[in-house]
Amino acid sequence: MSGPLEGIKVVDFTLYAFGPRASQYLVEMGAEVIKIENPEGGEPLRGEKGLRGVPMDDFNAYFEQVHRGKKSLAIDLRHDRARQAVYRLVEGADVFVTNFRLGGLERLGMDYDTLSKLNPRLIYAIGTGWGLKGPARDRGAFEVTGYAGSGLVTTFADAESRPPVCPPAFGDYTAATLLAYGIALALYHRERTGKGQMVHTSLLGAFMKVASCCVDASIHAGKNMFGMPHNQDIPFYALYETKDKRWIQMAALPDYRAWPELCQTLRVEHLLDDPRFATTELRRENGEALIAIFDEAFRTKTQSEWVALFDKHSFPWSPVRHFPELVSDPQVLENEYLVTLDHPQAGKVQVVGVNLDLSETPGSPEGVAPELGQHTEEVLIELGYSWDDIIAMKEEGAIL
Amino acid sequence: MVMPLEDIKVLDLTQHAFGPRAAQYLAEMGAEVIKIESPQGGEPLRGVDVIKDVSYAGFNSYYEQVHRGKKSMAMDLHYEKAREVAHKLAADSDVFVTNLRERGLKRLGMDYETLSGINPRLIYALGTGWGMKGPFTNRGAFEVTGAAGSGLLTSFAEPGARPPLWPPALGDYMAATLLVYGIMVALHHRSKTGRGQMVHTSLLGSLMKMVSCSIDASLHAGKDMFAVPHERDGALYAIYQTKDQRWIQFAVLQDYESWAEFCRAAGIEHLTDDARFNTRDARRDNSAALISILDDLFLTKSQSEWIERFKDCQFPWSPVRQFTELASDPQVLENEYLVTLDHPEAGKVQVVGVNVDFSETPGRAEGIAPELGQHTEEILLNLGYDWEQIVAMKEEGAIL
Repeated sequence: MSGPLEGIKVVDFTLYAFGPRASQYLVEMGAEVIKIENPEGGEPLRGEKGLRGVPMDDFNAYFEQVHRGKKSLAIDLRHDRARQAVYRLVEGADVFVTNFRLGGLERLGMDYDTLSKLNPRLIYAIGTGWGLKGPARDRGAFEVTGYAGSGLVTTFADAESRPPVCPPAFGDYTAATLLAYGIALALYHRERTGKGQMVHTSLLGAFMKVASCCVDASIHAGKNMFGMPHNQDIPFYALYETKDKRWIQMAALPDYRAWPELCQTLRVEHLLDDPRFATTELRRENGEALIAIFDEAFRTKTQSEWVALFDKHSFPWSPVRHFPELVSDPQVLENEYLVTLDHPQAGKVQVVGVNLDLSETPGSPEGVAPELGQHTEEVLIELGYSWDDIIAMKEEGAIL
Repeated sequence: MVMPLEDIKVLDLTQHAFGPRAAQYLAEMGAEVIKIESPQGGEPLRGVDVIKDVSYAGFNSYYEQVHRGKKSMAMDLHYEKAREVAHKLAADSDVFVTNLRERGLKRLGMDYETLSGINPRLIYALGTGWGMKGPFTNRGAFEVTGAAGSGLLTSFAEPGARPPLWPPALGDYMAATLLVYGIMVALHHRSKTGRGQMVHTSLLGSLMKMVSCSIDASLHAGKDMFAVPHERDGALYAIYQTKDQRWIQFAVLQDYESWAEFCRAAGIEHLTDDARFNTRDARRDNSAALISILDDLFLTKSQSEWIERFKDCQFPWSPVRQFTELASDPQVLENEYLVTLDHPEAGKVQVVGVNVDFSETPGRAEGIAPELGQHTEEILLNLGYDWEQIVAMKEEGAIL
């Protein structure tokens, strides 16, 4: 068994999370990924010390998650010799991934026209903030501008409330997944025709895609789909607070057959004889009253007590986990959704795995994110540069 | 220009949103997708008429968005003859996509062992709720159970606060994007080796992947990562409310030039060189003071007035759009993130497009979702069935 992208060479000219995640998907599937970094500090995520009050002293999870298994080439593209070396790298590559701004790519000679002429078989994958056209084309972007510009963030709050602060990198990773799909599709097409091409998505476009159910419905109805207050929710598909201030998510549909079973578990058997809740339609009509009763019932036991009681039920439900609890969740562990890796500084670390299973050619979550410039010499020597060339480039400041 | 998946045949035995979206990605790229539906009502989404409080008014966008361009075959797999047809279709397909529960798939003879025995080149793509192993394997699931079980929900709320209601289909579409990446990697691998395989991801695993940055950091620190209050993410990386109760998002990082540009556009030039705010570190140290100034400032003008003032700024910012406004957003329209289609009942509709761009082999957001069983006869005739056999199957109830 081997990774399905073994033999694929990727040049990664990315920063932050969107671009790095897209090429990291390829690493997991066996591709060789060489990341080009500026010798002055390199990837900005290398400097992260913590996120949202969670410190990252000896293990920079933000950086590691999307750079694991890559090689680092520290090279300054403003030097002509450096650029020539990268061109040589691109000539032998299958995929180029970037999320730099379009203007910068042109200035550095890393734009699609230039690279596709050097290598017509190249898949040139680009992630932007706003798309390749339009008035905001050259405006900077981070995932939060995508959440805002696509309207996605409005669905997380009701019309009057402040939208929540979304989790870090969540949107970048989502957009990167769509871009990685595009890369794989373009590779498949090239396998049959020999022709490369440009693949692109943006934060704006990708978030609209994953929110397209809300977008299409809202536009057609001429009414925005906001979040809703809890008491307007569907009783069997709602989130309930437990005695210990934790939460249980129910996810049965309104026509749910096991209504009696649910009432028994919640110790509200008297509802079975309550005419307000006698049918699916009535339970929907009187949803607000039912939610109020369920709210009270769920507050009589702790989350773990409810987990024990619900465990036998095969309808959809889940406790709302806190991340540190995932390490002892048998469902997570048996599926290898967390894996344990050896890290040179941090020792044994548990990290999110590949989480996409291929029966014949599984990917691998292994590897360590490289030190800045760790593979510069190795990469240049493989490209045919001599030690004299390498020393000259170092002296010039073109490489680290 | 050719469609990249023009000669790919996909058999779709899916329901709700996760499986249908995965197969619809392939339809957009030119694949022929045949959806097998139960003659008794078929796809459950066909019956949805309202989501949250947005009603559909003649255009079921939830269903359309993920069934556009597919063919529908209404066939009851509990009948031996129908199963034979399904197996013939599987023998002739490149990809099989499903998100039915595994027990059901075995019962219907549509499990991996059976179908890969019939067609060793088949890519068998499976989406589950909880993974293929572990104690919850047989528990039902919807996207909200994935959002709860992965911990993702907790990262949208501050400690103790109620997590927001999850936007419809968002988690399903994210999981489907990861699955379709897997399908394309497997197709690429097959084009080199001739061998098919099983590809799988789950709601739990894929949503953990999207939030892996937070998970890895939390696990290593042994501390949970919740949402942070407005004040904590930095004054220039925040959402501000405007005079008309709307919102504007800024995502400016550290540099002085952007700060100066921000001050000019916001009309607070007097703060440009204020020692409390004129460096990144100073702004961080005096974040509360700056946020309180900006909170007051943004309340003095409407969102559209602010848009006018910031429109030429190239640092990252965005108004928080409502979905209905996307229909006239030039950035959205120029990039074809919304496209206009003709729908037989609803007339002209604007819907979210392909949103991943290919220079040589673009996809197409065309077509309409089929009526239940619209293509049953056509598909059977193509498989070599004659009218007598078709009539017999109808009489038996095996097809619609």
